[in-house]
Amino acid sequence: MSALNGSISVRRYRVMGSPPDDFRATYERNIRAHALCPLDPQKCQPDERAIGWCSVYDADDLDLTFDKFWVEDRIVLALRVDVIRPAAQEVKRQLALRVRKEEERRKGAISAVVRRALKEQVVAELVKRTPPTTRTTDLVWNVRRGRLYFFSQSTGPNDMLLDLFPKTFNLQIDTEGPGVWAADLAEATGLEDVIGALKPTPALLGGFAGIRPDTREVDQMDLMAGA
Amino acid sequence: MARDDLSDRKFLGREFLTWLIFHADDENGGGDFPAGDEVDAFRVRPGARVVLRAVGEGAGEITARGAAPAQTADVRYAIAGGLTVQEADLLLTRGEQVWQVAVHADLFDIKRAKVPEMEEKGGKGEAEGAELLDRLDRLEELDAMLQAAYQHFLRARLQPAWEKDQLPRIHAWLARSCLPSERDRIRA
Repeated sequence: MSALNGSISVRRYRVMGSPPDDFRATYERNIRAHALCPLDPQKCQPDERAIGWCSVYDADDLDLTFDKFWVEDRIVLALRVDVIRPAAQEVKRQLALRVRKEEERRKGAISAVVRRALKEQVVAELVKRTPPTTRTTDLVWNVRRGRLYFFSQSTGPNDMLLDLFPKTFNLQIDTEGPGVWAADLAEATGLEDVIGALKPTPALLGGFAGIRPDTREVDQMDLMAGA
Repeated sequence: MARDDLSDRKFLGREFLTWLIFHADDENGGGDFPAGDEVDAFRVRPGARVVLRAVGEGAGEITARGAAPAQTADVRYAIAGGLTVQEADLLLTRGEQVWQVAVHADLFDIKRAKVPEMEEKGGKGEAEGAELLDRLDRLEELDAMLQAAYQHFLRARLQPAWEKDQLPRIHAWLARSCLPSERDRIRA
């Protein structure tokens, strides 16, 4: 699922604040500064991650000039995460070989401490031979409207976005949803007090009395104590 | 209901999707929404999947699937018993164009959306750029319709008439769907 093709799954955010007047230059500089720096397997620790921006059209395009991410009032990017993690099956296989060899050398079983040390050794060696796995998640920010669509609803990528976006653009983002939209409408129609005092509808969230045999009148106190 | 749900008014998401099932029924408005500042007139119909859930941690969940699950007595019986719509497949129609989407009540996350297809344009490179732009426009149109439908609901929800007018209508609609005596009375 991406901005370019397939079905669309997004979480929307509101961008708090406005871009600076010179946002073309500022954002190009900042995005390039936060573009992904590829991991070097020779120098990496196990499970080391790299997080940064890449082109939405090509995950390997990290040379992000303004024209590459600007599409009619929108900034279109992908959040790329690289991780170097040797396959568990391969670690297990290599470790078994290494343990057998060590036990033959010592002519006896090895301790848990030695086994752990061997595993660390195996993982460290495999890391150097393991290419990074790459995952990208697209992002579309309509700068004029101040709304951002992030093409994932998983916690991990969304947390990374919440961390990287303010660092890059110097603006905070917040999820939109029923509460935010209600507050917007209340502000536009002068109903802030009404929305402020709004409570769940007992019948809708607790059941309509008299239709099902087991349904009773539910009041708001019941609902508020419900969980 | 958790404190967070009350303070950020997340419960409105579930109330909205549940109300939408009611509003989409032909006898209650047929899912029609008038044109507004941001959108032309459109229609919302429930799709092939509705997920209902009771309030509270660890509460059970019911998923109804089929050609038109929202029209079944089972779903209405569940609503009458206090289950609300947690997620629903929706079909939004504007003229000849149809958007298909699943909407989750908590944050109105858009899931598995299919937007109307664009017409063929220009060469490959030009077409690729135009295609992205078209998809983003269609996504924003979908979001604008969703927001307009929610505002329509909120305008009713924030009025005193919500308790006196809308809730009795929802109650009567559920009763007609669930109680054989009510159905017989109407037929007679």
